[in-house]
Amino acid sequence: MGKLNIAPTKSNLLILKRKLAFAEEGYDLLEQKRQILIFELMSRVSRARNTEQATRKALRQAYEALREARLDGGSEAIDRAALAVKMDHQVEISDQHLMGMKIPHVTVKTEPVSAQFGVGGTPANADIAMSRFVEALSLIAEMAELENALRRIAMELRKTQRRCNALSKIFMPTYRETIVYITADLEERERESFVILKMIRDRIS
Amino acid sequence: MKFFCIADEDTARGFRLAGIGTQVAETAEEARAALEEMTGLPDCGVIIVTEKVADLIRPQVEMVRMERDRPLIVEIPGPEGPLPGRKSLREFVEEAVGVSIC
Repeated sequence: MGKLNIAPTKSNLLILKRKLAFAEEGYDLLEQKRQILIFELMSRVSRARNTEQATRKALRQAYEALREARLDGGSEAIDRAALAVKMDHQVEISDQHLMGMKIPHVTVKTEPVSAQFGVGGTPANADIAMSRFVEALSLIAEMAELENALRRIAMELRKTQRRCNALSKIFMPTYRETIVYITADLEERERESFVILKMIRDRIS
Repeated sequence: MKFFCIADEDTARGFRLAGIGTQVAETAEEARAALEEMTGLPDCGVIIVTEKVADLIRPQVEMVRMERDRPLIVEIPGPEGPLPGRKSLREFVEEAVGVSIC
């Protein structure tokens, strides 16, 4: 760890001390931020894992029903049925602010499943597939929220960690070393001038 | 705001059945065009993308995720199930934190 290349003067020492105090304060804040971010991350990770599994399961069932429907009535019948579907699922995204980041919060309002297409010409499984896909939607929305929140927090955490490390491993040691160097140098000079003073006094008397 | 979906033909059919605006994309070109169109829509809240399609346009997906607040992009497994060898959310988090979470 090298020291800074500056002149060992009193004013430089004062400036460095002030900067070090500032860096330490910043480090404390970043450390706090890091802990909060880790806490937030942890509280979401388990939820995300559960939601991921639930989504996968719901989708697998939905795909199964869809395949059955396709086997029963053919792709075209389903496409025709889909044309008649008039469901309007609303999703609201609001932002929660966390440490200066925007964390999305998703609320979803899926429309209740009702008869959307005629019974004639469409396989019975098409209705099941439809309701299963609608069910999966709210899980998918939750997934979207958690995935994006986790990504953002994780990115921010990585940044904070890098800053923390830069401060504590490079910045502050360098400053401390320089301060030690300047203090030693100043003291040495003081002793020198003290000795000279003594010598002059000896010679005069 | 609404859901939108970019997917292969099968998945698209299912989501269309649920009343969601869906674009079929089999190639990277189609997927890119669909994504651009959807991100431009004012009432687009969540874009559902299958893992396969997302892999085709990985740079664009990451760009929307990083630079925009919305729409949110969510990747779902296709009819063939979750693709093997994908980085799960947990691994992503572990990488960021630097320690493993059990």
